Amino acid sequence: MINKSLFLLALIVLLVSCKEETSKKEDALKKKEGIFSSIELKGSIKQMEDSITGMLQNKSSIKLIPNLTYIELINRLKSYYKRFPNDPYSAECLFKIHIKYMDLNALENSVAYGDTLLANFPNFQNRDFLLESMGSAYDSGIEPRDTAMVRRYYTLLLKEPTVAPETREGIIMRLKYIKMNFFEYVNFQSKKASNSKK
Amino acid sequence: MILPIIAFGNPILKRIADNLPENFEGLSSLLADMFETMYAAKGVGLAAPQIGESIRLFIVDGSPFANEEGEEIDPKAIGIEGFKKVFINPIIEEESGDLWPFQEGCLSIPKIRENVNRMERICVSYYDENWSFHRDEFDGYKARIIQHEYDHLEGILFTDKLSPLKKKLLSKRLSNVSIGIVEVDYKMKFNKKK
Repeated sequence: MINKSLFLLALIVLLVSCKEETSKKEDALKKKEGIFSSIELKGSIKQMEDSITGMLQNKSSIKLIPNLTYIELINRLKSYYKRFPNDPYSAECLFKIHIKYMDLNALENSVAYGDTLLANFPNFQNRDFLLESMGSAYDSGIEPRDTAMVRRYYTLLLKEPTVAPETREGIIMRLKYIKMNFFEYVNFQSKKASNSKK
Repeated sequence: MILPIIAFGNPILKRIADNLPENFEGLSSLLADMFETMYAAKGVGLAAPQIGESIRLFIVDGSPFANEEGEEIDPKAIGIEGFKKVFINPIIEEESGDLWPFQEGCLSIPKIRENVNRMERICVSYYDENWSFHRDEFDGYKARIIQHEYDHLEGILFTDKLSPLKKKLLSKRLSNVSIGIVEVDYKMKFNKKK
């Protein structure tokens, strides 16, 4: 009887340890294949963001942050979106990718991810900021300048109820003189201000 | 003679400047005026278009960036003491290294400073004030100053390098600079309507 019990106990221990081993192997395989959990990916993004924030706060290293650091962050954000495309955090990832590409002056990439965000998360909380950013990218960044795209995003922006009155006024004015490029428009505004002072 | 510095909005700042002929008349007095103007405005570089001359010439003196005793050594500033030079008909042959951000300003755009990304190292060929040819490599702040001034010869301002949204947010301040609605303690030529 005792022998039977011992045998059963040993069998259970063996089965449990085998299961744990299999689970560890599966985890290792997932990691090898780049399959991380949502928490792990979020953690790696936060780690990267904290590291960049730390560098930005340190005056002696602020001038030495290589662009590869930002590209690594973009890659992690992309990984999250790729793995969990419908997760609400993916909207944040897409927004951050849009902004980071903008900072790196990779405007075509920036607007591509902005469009992805608008299409997949139409009620994204920073939608007005995103639309303004998209409109300005086409207005004074992407060459050749495409006024139809400027009009498209600024018109969408005007439909947003959260837009501040002065921004709204500025956008309406910009659309009125959309044929002028950024430099011409700033000069035009200067002349207008100068005239109104007289 | 201290010359007025052309403010943002003047079309000369958007023009590609012309090469200087070797027999350019009045070069030495122009250079003397440019140095005097730059020092009066506490600048570290000045390009000819900024004083209304659309020619490929700029001057630099990066000594204000030099490491001071007792301060933490900034590796980007190493060797900048005495970095006073004249660049005539320069060509940036090569840019290399990582892009790094630095808050730039410009004597033509007072009171506005923004982070601009530029590459760490450059190789530039140029003539000096005696028309001797050089081909030198620069890095850190020296490269940064040259890249900024060189852009002026190409009709590019540092604000052109900002993100479109930043440009948009700055547009009101830029239009104010253009017509002189800005406090500035050096002589400037603004773009008031005739």
